[in-house]
Amino acid sequence: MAHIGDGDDSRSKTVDLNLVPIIDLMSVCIIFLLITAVWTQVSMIQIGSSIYGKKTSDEPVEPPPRAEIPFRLDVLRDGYRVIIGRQRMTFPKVNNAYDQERLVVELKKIKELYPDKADATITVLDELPYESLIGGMDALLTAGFPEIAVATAGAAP
Amino acid sequence: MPIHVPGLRSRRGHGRTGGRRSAVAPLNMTAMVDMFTVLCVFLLQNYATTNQVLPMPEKVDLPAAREVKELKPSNVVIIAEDGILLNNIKIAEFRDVKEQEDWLITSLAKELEKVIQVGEQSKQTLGSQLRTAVKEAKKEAKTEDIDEFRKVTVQSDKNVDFLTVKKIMYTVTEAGMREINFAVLKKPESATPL
Repeated sequence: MAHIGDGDDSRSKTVDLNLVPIIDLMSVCIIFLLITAVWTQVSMIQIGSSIYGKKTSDEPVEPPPRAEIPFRLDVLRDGYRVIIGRQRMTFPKVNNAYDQERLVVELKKIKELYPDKADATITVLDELPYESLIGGMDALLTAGFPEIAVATAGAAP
Repeated sequence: MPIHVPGLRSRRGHGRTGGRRSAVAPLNMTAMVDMFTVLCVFLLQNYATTNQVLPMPEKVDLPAAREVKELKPSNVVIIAEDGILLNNIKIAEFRDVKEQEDWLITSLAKELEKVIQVGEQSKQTLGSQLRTAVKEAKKEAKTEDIDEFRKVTVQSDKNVDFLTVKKIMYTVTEAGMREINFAVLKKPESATPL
């Protein structure tokens, strides 16, 4: 039990602070939080809102800004390939892993060139793991292209 | 508090301070209360505030990403070696889906259509209509115009081939779902990219 003294010996006044209810409350609170805690934080990546499947209404879908410029990210067996307009860039794998860092840097440069552009298409080869799709989408989102469309056909290698 | 050497003590009372022995043993609670407070604050900070908690099957190893959003309430499709699950109910075998040539998974499409049907019916209830009216009054309807039952979160193992995931996405879209999200683990900021 904690006590507070006023330091004056002649007129000593001890005030006892009952900590038992506080400790009880905290114990219960900690046990509850430990039981209900979610240790693995699952989040999500969203596909661009303009390319959702069947629309229930007949409202026309507005194209994203600068949609006339073709912009595609191909996830291939040996690396990434970016097609912007007529320009093609390849980013081969480094140590058998996709060079995502370099890809993000180049995508950010494209974003600087076309700041209004928000849409991008991603293609992944059928035999590649799902992880490669997420890696490509993550790079596009990091560079500032939130309207991502997933193409049904994989790119020609 | 003084600490005495354990063992027998003198009958004559050596070692006693005189009179009756004091039975009051004050315990210092400060350190414990401090520790509890820190622990409590840490747990409260890490407490899941979103109303959507995804079930994490043991055999599903989710990919990681940096640019992520918080989970929204939606239907969950799990793609794992054990099978294809919709809202924790097994719908199809993984091997069958992987080997089939047709992209449309009939059993999954049927179940999703049922989910949409149930959702549409519940939308007609008075409570639901009231909620929509309140949302419209608050002008929230524009930002969140897709119904929860028309959203799907795909929770797939990172090593599943993309063709299988594509079949699921195709089926989900064909069934009438309007939003597909991919469940990922949040990569720490300092982590190096893939």
